[in-house]
Amino acid sequence: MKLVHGIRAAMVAGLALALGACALFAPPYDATLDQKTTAAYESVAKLAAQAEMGLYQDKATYAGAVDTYATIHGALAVAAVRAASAPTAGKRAETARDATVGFVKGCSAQVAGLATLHRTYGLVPGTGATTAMMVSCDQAAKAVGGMKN
Amino acid sequence: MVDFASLDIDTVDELVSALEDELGGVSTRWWNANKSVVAGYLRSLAEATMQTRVALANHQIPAEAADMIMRNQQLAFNQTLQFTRFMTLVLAQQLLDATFKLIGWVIYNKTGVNLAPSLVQPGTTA
Repeated sequence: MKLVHGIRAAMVAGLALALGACALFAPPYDATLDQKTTAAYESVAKLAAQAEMGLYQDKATYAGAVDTYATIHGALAVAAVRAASAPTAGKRAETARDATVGFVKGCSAQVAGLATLHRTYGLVPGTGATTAMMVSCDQAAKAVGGMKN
Repeated sequence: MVDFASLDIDTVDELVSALEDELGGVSTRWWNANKSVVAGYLRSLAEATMQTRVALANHQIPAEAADMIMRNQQLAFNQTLQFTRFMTLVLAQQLLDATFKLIGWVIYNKTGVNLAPSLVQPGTTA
């Protein structure tokens, strides 16, 4: 009798694993990662708005903005590490997790690209300079929030 | 087939239309499947491109700066293409979760056995 109960319990546990562990296509939602990435995205949006309002038109303003760039980079680096540790249950979910890490790093690369433009030429408003960064970081934020119900 | 040598585009809408035609021409199937995700990003790219073009023509920025801006745009659009694949995986996961959440509740409500504890959480309304 005990054996029958044991087998039944094991079968239920096995079925629960089959139905429950189902991050087959994408990692589960991570509220902390979402919060960190969204906060970084808001900092990126503020940087872009300041640039489009002419605050960084002169390349000499780069020195004063380095701390802002560094803070955003740091926040995105933390988000990328956390995104890389998301649990998965299959090759396709790993692909989705790696893509999410790629989007966060892509956002970071665009911030670096804007910093280089700023340092070299200044950021002239209305020249399309900030759009690529906003697009990449928007996708990073959407990706980490993608599995939110 | 676009005659690139005589391409004469002055507005964002014209550029968006030309880009949509071009992408649809490369793969109608891809464009139809992904245009809802890509359309907004394509318009952002078109708007920024027209800004860069005007700034370059008016000598507000040097060619080297325009080149850097467009290279950043190329990286961003490359990421957009990857984003469409990612969203397909997210949709598949959402469909999987929705299906087995419902099935899990059907079984739990009749048997008291929770086969999908990550999806079926009695005591919460979600």
